[in-house]
Amino acid sequence: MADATNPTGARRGAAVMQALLAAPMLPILIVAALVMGLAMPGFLGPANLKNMAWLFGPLLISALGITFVFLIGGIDLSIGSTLGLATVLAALVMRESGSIALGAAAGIGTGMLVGVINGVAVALLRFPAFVHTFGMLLTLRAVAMLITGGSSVGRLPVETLRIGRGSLLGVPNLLLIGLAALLFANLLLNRTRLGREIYLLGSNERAAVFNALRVTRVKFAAYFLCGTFSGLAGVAVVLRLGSGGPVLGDNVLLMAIAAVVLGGTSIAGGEGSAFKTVTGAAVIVLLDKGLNQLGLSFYDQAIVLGIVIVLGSAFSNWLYHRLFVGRKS
Amino acid sequence: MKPLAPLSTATALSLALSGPALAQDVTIGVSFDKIEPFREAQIKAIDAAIEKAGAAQQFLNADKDAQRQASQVDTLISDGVNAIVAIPWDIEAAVTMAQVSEASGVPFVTMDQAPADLESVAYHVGGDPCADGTTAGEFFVKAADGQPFKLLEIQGGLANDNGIRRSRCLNDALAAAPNITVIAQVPTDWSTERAMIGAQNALQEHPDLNGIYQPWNDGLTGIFSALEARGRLVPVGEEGHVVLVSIDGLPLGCKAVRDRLVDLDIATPVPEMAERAVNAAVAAARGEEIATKVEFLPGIPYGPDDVDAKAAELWGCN
Repeated sequence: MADATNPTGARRGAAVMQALLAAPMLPILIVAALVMGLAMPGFLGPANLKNMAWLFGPLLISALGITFVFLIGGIDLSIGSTLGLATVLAALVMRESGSIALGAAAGIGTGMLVGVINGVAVALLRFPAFVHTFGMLLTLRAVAMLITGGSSVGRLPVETLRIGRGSLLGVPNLLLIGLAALLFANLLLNRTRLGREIYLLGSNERAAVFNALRVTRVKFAAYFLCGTFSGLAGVAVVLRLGSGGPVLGDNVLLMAIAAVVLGGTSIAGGEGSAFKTVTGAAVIVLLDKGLNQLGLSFYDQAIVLGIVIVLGSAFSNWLYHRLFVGRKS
Repeated sequence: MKPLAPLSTATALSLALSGPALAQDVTIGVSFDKIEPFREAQIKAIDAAIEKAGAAQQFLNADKDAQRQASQVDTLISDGVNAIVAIPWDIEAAVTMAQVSEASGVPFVTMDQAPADLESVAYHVGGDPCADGTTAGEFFVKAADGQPFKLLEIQGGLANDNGIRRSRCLNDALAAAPNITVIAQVPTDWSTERAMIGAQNALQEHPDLNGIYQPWNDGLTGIFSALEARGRLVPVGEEGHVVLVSIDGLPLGCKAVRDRLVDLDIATPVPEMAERAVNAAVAAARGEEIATKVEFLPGIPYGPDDVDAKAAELWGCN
């Protein structure tokens, strides 16, 4: 065995295992990027990278939001509708006031309000999360439809698109917003008491109760953060498209769940991280763009994406049990 | 019926000039909002039109996602296509896409679904949802013949122009007939299942329902299921028949008319629409001027009694 004869090799092996545990999708992401780059000249060029960053930013924010809820073993089906309503209100306020900042506040505020409602219902009133957030999914979508009459909200100030399509030091603004959300989520999960409690609650709720953890408060916080991130993602979408609309969040729920699960966060709670969600979201965007540009038909793309999600999440799960659970035992 | 917008001589000239042999240097990016049977028919028509023009194409499908469509338009631009033909999913986001595309020197042509601001595109050709809605409304007025008439209105997607105007203009036409009562308006977002549930509910509450407006062909299957379950799937002209009007002209719509289950279908002129969009895109890519920037093509109404006579001009019946 390398361990006995070559301590450096053993250390390297351990480091690789640590990296794999931290982000099981990272090798797949790198290989996929290289393959796409070789198959399509220009795929990793600045124009396409910027294009992918615009798609990646809002998805990452949504996926980070639902990561908090997954980590406590919960579910929030309303993130897409929250995003849709946030885009509508953000766009309306931007158009009427001419202020991007006010519009952004309205969008994020919408998400915070939904987060409070979900948090109170699930954490305090102990409504079943699946049923309650499903009800919210329908309600919020209908509210967005009623506000707009079903149509989109456009004619926003020209600065909206300038910000959404702009860059700072060569980094697209939407990616910067996504990275700021990642930094916040990562710090919260790894450096705060709330973060530790989120993991403990997700690992074993009964044990958390017996150990006097602030279960209600932690659950509330997870749903509140999820709502807030959905609102922020809605603002990012408005900046990207220059419009808002009630149907803009329709695909978000499944894409965000796919990103989180593919990244290696467990829907059963207690296991996962913000960084894993980043890699999951990156793989989804990469495949979405790459398969499209490779010229695969729509149905072929859906099949490949579906297979990658199934095999990728199975791989993450296997890796976790093989390396982490196995090592603990 | 709203008359066909006249094609100006200049446009006709410029479109006619877009001959097959001249477009080999042109690549057209095609961005569809979704894939479903009607869009499949449009894809075939686009393929045929692009082949006829001798151009190349790059096709992308946004799968009902405005963000993805915006991203795909950016991809097409960075890939260096010479023009883009799009069916937008979101009419406001389409304005942004058009502005970005035009600013990059890539003419942006829309087809079928009109963007919120038609000034933003190089050319738009679509069906005339208002003319189609009006034709449907006038048919119901005639069918009711001054007698009390209970009508169920199934609505398509209210987030896009076709859905909104097919509904609004139907109701404008019905306003002249106070004997017609619209017992329910059912928004479905083009979902066959929601159309079926809407019809089931209406038939339960109003067993004497007289008519159903089903403004896209795909949803007919759901309506038929609901009618059959209540014993009301009766051919045209027989006792208990529910007057049924639809729009699209898909093969399944044509078959339903031939089976005498649908009183009137209004066929969208898909091949003509695709050819005009492609020719305009080729012309714009070459820097030629398009004099008439917006055209709406009203559908061709046909029913059980004239379907065979009109079959030659109905793409879904051949």
